[in-house]
Amino acid sequence: MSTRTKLGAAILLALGLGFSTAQAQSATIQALATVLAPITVSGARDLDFGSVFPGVNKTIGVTAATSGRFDATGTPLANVNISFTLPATLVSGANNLTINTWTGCWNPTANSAAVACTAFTPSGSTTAVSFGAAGNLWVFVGATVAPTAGQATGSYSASVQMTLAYF
Amino acid sequence: MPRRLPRRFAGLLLLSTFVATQPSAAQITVAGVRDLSFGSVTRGIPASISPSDVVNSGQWNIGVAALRTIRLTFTLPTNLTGPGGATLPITFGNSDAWRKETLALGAGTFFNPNNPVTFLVLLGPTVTVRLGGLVSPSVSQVAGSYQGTVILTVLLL
Repeated sequence: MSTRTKLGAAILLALGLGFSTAQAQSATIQALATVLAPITVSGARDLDFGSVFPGVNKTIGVTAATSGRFDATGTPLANVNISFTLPATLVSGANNLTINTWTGCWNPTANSAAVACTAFTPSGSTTAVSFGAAGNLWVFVGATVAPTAGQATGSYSASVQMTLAYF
Repeated sequence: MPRRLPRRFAGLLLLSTFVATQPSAAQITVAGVRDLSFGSVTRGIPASISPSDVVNSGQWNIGVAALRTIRLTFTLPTNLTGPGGATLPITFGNSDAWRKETLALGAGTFFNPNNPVTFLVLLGPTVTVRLGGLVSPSVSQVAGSYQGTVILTVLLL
């Protein structure tokens, strides 16, 4: 075999090595999504101060039988922010009754403010909580009303609103 | 005094250099770097992820030498699978894929992942590919975690 022939063969071999037939490589990733159950929430019990007297503050704690309670359901164990629209006064016609010093606790496992209920301060700011393993959440609220010495008699009321949002 | 190489040896030397600098097929690598994550979605509300999302878009890294032509082909799911075999539709739009050579300047190139795309890698040694998409949960979508497989196949031409 001549030198020229050998050189030609070497070139062909080299080209064959350098430009081999097309070759494919693959890699896999996952596409992931979590579908959340819609949140339901209901006002289950009114925050009721009962009868109060002029000049005498009255507090209802979260564990009281007349504390306010919201019942919510959602995706089990999902995180959720709760926030409140709270009144500064209860209203009876043209008369106002101051309400303040809000207290709260949330319980993802039982409808109880007395056991395993986590305390927080209700406000317009968000508080991070979570649904329980069964997708439940109970939220209890209390507060203090402060009737003045000259507080007009009558029935006073106002709305307390709780908002929940997944995060 | 340096000796002058015979011409036939000089030719072989050039050929050796040429071969050594050309990438072989084995030099191409593809690695899945990040899952395409839609996170939490709500019934009845479509949710999309852009390929520009550097946190939630899917990502692959391709290792390939400069001046090689490659073809990207995606194997895309039409549904993600969830609890009890429930399905969640997933679609990919015209600009839901993006590629960029790591060393290249500029913003990269968006493309349609539903069709193969062929291009010349100018610089190498790495090309980043990202993928977005759209999931469309129905109003009665079963709650829970959904998953589907996305494959990127890179053909070295």
